Amino acid sequence: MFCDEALDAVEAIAAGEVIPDGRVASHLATCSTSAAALVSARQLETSLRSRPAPAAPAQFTARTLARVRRARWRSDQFLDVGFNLAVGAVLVAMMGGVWMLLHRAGLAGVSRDVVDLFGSGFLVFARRVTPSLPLYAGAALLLVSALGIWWWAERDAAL
Amino acid sequence: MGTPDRQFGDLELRDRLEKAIARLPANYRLLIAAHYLQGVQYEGLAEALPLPLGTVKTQLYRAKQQLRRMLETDLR
Repeated sequence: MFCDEALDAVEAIAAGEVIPDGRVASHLATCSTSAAALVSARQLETSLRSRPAPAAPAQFTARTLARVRRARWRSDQFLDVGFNLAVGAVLVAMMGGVWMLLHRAGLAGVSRDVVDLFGSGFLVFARRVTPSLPLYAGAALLLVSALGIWWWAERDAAL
Repeated sequence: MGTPDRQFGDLELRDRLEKAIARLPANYRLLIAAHYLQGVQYEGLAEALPLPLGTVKTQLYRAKQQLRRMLETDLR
C-alpha cells in the first residue's frame, strides 16, 4: 500500500467514520508519515469539534426583532396596497356593469324621466322604471356586497 | 481545566485554525462552518446544497486535508 492511499483515508478515520481495515491499519502502524498525518488529522478534528459557538453580538436580539418587524410591516403594506387595488378594480368593474345594465335597460333616459317626473307625473316614470327594477336590485346587491367585503377586510386588518 | 500553558496552546491553535479556515476556498469554508460551527449534519448539507451525500463527505475530507496542510505549513 502507498502512503497516498492511506493519507486519503486519514480524515475519515480521524472523524470516526471509517475503521481502518487490515491493509490500512498495518500501513499506519509501519509508516511514520501516514501515522503522523493521522495524529494531525485527529488533532484537527478535536479542535474543530471544540470550536465554541460564537457569542451573539450586543443588541443582536433587538436588531433581529426590529428587522423582522420591519419586514412584516413591509409585507403588510404590500398586502394592503394589493387588496385596495383589487377592491378598486372590482368596484370599477361593478360600476361599469351597473352602467351597462342601466344603459341596456333603456335607463340612460332616467335623467329625462326625472325631468318627466316633475313634469308629466310620477306614474309615467314608474311605468318606465318598473320593468327594470330587478336590474336595479341586482346592481344594488352587488354594490352592497362589495362594500360589505371591504368593510369585513378592513375590520380584520385593524385587529 | 488544563494548565495555563495548555490553555494558551489551545488558544493559539484555535487562532491559527480560524485564520486557516478564513483562507480556505469558499465552498470548503462553507462546509466546515456549516458542519462544525452550525452543527449541520451531512444529510442536511447534502439537501441544502444540493449535492450527493458522498460528495459532501469527500469535500469535507478534502477541506480538512487542506486545513491540516495549512496548519502544518504554518508550523514550519
